[in-house]
Amino acid sequence: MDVLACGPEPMLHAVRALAPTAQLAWEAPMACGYGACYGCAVEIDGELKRLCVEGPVLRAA
Amino acid sequence: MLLNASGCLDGLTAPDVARSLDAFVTKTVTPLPRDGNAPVRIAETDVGMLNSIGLANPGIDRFLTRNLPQLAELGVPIWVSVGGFETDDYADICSRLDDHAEVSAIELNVSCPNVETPADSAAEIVSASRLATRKPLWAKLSPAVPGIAEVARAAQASGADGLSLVNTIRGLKLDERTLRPVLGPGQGGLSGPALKPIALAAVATCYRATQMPIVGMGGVQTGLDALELIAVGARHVALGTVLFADPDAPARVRAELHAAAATRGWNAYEDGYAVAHEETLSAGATLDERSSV
Repeated sequence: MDVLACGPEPMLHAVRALAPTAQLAWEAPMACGYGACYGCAVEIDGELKRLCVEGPVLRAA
Repeated sequence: MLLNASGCLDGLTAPDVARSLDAFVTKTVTPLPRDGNAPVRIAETDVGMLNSIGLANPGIDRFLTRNLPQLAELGVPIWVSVGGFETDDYADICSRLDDHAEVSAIELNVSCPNVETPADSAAEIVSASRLATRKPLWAKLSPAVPGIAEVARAAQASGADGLSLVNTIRGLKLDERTLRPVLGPGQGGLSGPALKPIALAAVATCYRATQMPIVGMGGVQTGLDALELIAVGARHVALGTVLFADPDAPARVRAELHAAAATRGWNAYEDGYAVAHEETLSAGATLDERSSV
């Protein structure tokens, strides 16, 4: 079963805890949109991901 | 020369954009790896944008082993932006860059608005870095100081080869509903069109104070913006925020710059260097100017 989620960040974190294989759609303001500025980096499991090039949909774990 | 402003381009993620410049300036490299500041990192304002990236970078070790060899393959000169929290940080990184032939120049970022400002003065940092490397040293200064001419003269006396003007200036945006800061760390660096008059003033002041080579930057969107910076004393021009909205800006700005020079009857845009400091236009030049508009 695939779990897909988009919505507020606290909810995405809650989904992560319940379903480690879930695909989560994250959001952040972007400046360039092509990986150049590091403006949209979010911390997932202690690692920073640029949502524009590594996301915006990421595996929960 | 047309460059990018440090931090506004990742040459490995966007190699085509980097190749369209005359030299690529890296994001600031610090001694240790840095994740950067907590999100939110970007906010728009009516007159420009705020960022608070916080010098996210792999640190000098990984930069030298992983990033630099790949950047060297871009085929454009590489300028490395160097940052730190005390004088020794800058000197250490400069000495490690010194024997890398693929590094054309070093820009000393002594003015990042998003991390704690080094306690040591720009002059101390430039002096120590000068002893550590033979590479050309460009000191990147903040316009948000009471006397930028003094800072520029001190950098010159300490052995800087040129100045990079300007860095962003600190700003704050509130969420309209909550009246709390939008950016995670609160404040950030303001860039974009709002910065252009500030950059023009800083370049003009530092040109008069030092006659040093200057890379002018701040709010450049068009070739005419670039020509204005050249007119107040910039030898080179860097593009920053415009690259986010328009990755093709280097080619466009270059074409517009040549056109703006040709309109004035100049062979090259270099003919406009520091013309703003000449006291008055002659009557004939004024007329030519009018008829060309």
